[in-house]
Amino acid sequence: MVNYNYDNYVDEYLDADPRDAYPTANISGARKDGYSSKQEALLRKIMEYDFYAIDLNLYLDTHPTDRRAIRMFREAVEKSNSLKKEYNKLYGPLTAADVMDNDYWTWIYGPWPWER
Amino acid sequence: MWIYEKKTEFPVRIRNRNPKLASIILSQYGGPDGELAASLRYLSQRFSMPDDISRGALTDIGTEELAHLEIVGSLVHQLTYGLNGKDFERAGVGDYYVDHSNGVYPASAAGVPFTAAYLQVKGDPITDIVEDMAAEQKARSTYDNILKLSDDPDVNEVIKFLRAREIVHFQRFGEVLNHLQSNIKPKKL
Repeated sequence: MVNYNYDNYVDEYLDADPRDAYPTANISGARKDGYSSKQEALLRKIMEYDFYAIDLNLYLDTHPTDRRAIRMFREAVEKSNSLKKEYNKLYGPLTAADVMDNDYWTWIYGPWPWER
Repeated sequence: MWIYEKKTEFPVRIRNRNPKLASIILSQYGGPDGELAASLRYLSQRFSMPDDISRGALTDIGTEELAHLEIVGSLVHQLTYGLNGKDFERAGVGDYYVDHSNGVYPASAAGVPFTAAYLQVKGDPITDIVEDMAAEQKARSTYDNILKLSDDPDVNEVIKFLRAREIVHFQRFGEVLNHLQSNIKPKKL
């Protein structure tokens, strides 16, 4: 049973790193050190292809017979999917369905996208 | 339905803290022309759209607005991360801190909580798409104003991205409007 020790809680909380406020943040395996530069670079490549696909997707919604745009959309998605496979192997899942570990639910691994 | 991907649509990496700027940007989270209003507007209006082009465009643009909501929330979070009440007070936004501390609450820059009164769902496709075009311009103007008030280059890069997306969405809604006007016969009154 976790003892939250409420007597000291307020004083400690005021100076604390908010990420330390909850015990789940310290489960072994969970990372607190943000993205490595290599991880960030690969993620940004994925984000670029995905954004390209989003923009083409919207264009195609109002131009559904544009074959060239359909081809460009498909290429962007294929490129993104192969990079996502690589990312998943190296750094963990981008979606819950990508979890490969049998011993730890790596979906909850940080960093989460909004973290500094 | 939706599936979460553990990434933002555009990178948000803000080096400096600035609670005052955060309280201004918050308006695009839960303010009158913000991303929460945008996503709810489009994702609600799509149910009464008459054809596949309009249903598709509203679904996909509404979905992208949810990604923008996350980006704006990330901006507010990173601009205030780890700051205490005194920091907020010194920046002139102690009134935000007293109710929300380091949380990200959907409200306007003036502190008015989010309300569905910011959006309309009229059930008339032309009426709704015209509202959507106006909404995109209002959001674009708000991002213009944020750019006039902000001198943080990390923040401005993100705001410029969001501003550019408003222009693209306006263009797509214009195409939906043209399509509806030339293909859908209005019901006789």
